[in-house]
Amino acid sequence: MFRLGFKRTHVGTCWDANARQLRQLSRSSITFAASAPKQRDGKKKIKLGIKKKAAAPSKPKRSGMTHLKFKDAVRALNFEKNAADISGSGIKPLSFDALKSQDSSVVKYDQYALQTLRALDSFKKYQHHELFSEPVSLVNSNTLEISKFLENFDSSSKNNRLCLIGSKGIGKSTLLSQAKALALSKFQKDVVLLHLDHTEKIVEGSSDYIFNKRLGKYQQPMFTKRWIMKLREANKEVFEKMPLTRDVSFTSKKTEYNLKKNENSLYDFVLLNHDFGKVGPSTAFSFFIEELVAHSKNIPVLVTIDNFNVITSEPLTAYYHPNFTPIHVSEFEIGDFILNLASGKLSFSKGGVLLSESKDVADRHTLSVGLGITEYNPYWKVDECDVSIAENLLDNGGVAPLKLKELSKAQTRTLMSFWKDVNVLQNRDYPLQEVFKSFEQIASEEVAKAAGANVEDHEFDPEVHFEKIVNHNFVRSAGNPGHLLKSVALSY
Amino acid sequence: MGVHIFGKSIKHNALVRIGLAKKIFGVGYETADRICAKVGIYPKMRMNQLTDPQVMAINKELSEMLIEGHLKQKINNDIELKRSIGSYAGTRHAAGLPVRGQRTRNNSSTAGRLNRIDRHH
Repeated sequence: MFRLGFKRTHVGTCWDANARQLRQLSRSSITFAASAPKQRDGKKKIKLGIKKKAAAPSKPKRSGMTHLKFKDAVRALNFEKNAADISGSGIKPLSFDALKSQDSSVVKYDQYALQTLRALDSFKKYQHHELFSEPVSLVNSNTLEISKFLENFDSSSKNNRLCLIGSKGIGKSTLLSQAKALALSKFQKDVVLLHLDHTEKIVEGSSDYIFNKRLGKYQQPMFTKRWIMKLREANKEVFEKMPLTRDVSFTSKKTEYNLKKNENSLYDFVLLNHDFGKVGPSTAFSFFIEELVAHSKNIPVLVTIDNFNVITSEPLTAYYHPNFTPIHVSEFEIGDFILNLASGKLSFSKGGVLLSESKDVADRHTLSVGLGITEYNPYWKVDECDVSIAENLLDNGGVAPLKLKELSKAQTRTLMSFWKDVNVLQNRDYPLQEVFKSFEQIASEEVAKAAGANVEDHEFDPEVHFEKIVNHNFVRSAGNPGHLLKSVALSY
Repeated sequence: MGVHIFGKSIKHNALVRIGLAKKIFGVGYETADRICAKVGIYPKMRMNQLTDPQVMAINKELSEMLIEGHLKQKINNDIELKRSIGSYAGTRHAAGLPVRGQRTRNNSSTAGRLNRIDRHH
């Protein structure tokens, strides 16, 4: 460090030149200058350590995209908005009265039914309803079987119990939706729909639980509340027609309510009562069911439980007693309610119970024994068959199994023809174009030409080609509509 | 943000049963499940959903258990006892060698690192 004792004097241009030279020696210019690397002659200093890579350029965030996989993304991004409009294609809504004339045809749901089914989450994730502007289904022999089930709604629900069984993708959940739409059509909306779309929610441990000493059962406030909200939205009109049969008082959100018999409706009760055990043990759900039972003389109740075999396959839930023993599904208020309905212990004066199995659940013998399909084998291990549940299902005449039938070839053609009309199925001529021919095919044609055979260029015939696609996919899917849709729309 | 249980900060979005097992020395998955069952916490409950009474109940359960520093002290005392009575296991601890009959020709480095008289310090 050195300092030049130069004093600024006005001596003309000579000073400016000197100052410029001296400024180059100033301290600041030295300190700010980049120091030259020290390097010995002939030797290069090797840097030790991990070589740092240049940071990868960050990907620009695209708006409107999603982190979900394709099959989830198509639903989340509302791709049905881009689907071809089917309102002008002459598709009729599903109707109970005109069901026989609608056999083997594609139908949609009327506006009220559609709204109700959506409120009940009847349209499931991988049914690929996003391919169409609104949900559609095909009426087939299974639907006609369900119409017979609905015709018995004048009798009590314990005599009218059915369980849908069949392979994955056969249309069990779709048939439940059709049953609900047909029930609305038959009873002119005067029917209560109790639909449970994911029975897993009862057993998987996603809801809080509290023991109700009065009922002797565990309650699941979060799950019950959410389910009741769905039912309230779907059954608003019919609940408003149901006056309470007895007085009830409860506290909700720090407000005390006293609902009067015949003055207030069941809709008022489910609208105002948000607490199904959150604050403490509650009898709200049992009151709700008692009211439905009381009104079922006039207003029938259709109970549809999807994935019912979840509770028969895994009756020991993910929840534990305080002494660390797993809680059986029948020890839950909702689980007990479902099992009582299935066994006929709880019965509505008018109505029916429609159960449906899921093929995504571990295969156990409980349901097949309970439906009388398989005989109980005493040598089975305990977890292979829950005898108590199986015996419950066999009570009061038992639950009738309904094995769903596959589509016929004509029904497959009808369905695929509809898909073709709404641009879901591509009927393209590219396999016949010259560029797409295989080497063997071209070679064989040349050999045939050289031999003097008359080889004509094939012209694309859409109808013949469509028939080929139908045959190919019918064989491939074996008449299973779920597999058919996958093979047509998701395979490429 | 973390939820403080037994003096430990546990990530707010961790499942209660996982958070307890991961953060508290002496609490594994089984013990965490037992605590949750006793307190009445549902299996998929997350840390940020715990109410104050539930946190207090978990703390109460944990305070009755031999965990964290007390458990480490017990382990050290046990090793020290083995050493003091001149047992084989004690000598192996003292030597920093495998205690339970493992071979030492190769791969005994973990024992060298862990098997000491003052194991948890």
